[in-house]
Amino acid sequence: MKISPPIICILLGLASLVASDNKPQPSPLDWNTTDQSARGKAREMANTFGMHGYRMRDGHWVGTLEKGRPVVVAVHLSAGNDYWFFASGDDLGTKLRVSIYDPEGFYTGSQCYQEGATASSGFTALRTGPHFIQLAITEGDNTNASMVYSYK
Amino acid sequence: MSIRAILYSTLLSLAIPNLGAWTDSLSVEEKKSAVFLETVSIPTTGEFFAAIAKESSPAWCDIPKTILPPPSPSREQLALQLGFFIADGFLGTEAQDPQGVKNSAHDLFYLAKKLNLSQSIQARGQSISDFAKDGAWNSLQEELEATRNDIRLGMQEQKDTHLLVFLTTGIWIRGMDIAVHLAAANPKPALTSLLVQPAIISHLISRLSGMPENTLSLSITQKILHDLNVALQLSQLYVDAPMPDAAVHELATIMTSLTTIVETPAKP
Repeated sequence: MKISPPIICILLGLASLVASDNKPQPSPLDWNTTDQSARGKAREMANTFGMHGYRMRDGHWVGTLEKGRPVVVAVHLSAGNDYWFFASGDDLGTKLRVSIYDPEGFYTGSQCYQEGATASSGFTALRTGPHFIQLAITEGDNTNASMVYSYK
Repeated sequence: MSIRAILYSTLLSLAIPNLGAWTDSLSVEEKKSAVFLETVSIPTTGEFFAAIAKESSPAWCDIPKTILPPPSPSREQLALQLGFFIADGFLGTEAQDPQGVKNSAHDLFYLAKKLNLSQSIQARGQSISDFAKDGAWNSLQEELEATRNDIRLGMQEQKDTHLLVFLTTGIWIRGMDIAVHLAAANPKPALTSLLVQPAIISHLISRLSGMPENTLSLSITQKILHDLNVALQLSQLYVDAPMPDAAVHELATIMTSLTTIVETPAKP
């Protein structure tokens, strides 16, 4: 997994400020319309990776996260692709965590970042097949949350 | 993009990777109860092709595009064919072929109209054309997936939820058909391992098998279920083992059969 140097990241972040007007509009996907906020924040995070060549999925998970009750989402990944998963919560007082598990259910040792009610995790898939993305609250009681992912 | 996004981008680059695991492994129960969403859990054709491209250098431009079949009286078959043109849109982006993408989009919109879905994706036509013209291939891939999701939404709104399954199946068949024929021409373990997708095939079989009786009993449903079951049996053999050339060719034969079922006009 390659992480770009800080300066490049800052410059690309600023560059995407200019490019953001010409982005695809997400599908409303009616079963998620009550939670645009968390989805919007998760997409905003994922958008920053667009300048690094990542393509964002339009599909997403949305739901409620409760303390001590993590949610696991199954995602079929392809070996060789790089992936980043982004989660965001509505409640700014909560802290989230994203963890990636391989088809056998073992933690992948992926890179994780957390800032306020947003979190992300990325890795390069070594195997093709269903992987498991665990979303959990590490601080706070509950929040509406959403997860999107990007790949390249 | 907001200031928040810029700050996040900066923080991502500065943050120290957090190496501590939430838990070392998931239990069997946790894996079994994992949420499965078709719009998230199944990869897009573009995502699949991205992995294929890393293991070979396919001549995407040389892959024959889907030809608009004669009109079918079967809505299920139309949904399958719609899936083919969505997959062909992704093929066009890999080939970086603006005209190919526009042609696929044209046929996609034609079939969507036949299913009364053109209203759902009306706004997408111009942006697909613009992204293709500008060579914005990543944005185009995202737009194609959003178009697929708008079609899904349109199907739900007009109570055609069973067609969602045929749409998803059509996209998967076309993507796998392209991939397996590429692998057959250039068999190597890293490439052929990408073809082993028993979990997705099982899901499609489960969804098709759960159709109402009048849909389940259709000849096209039965034929597709038959071939998917053969593909599943084959795929399950190579979850932890390299797929030999003979198995790749066998899978290619199955995918050709499935493609023929989708493209051959159904009897009224």
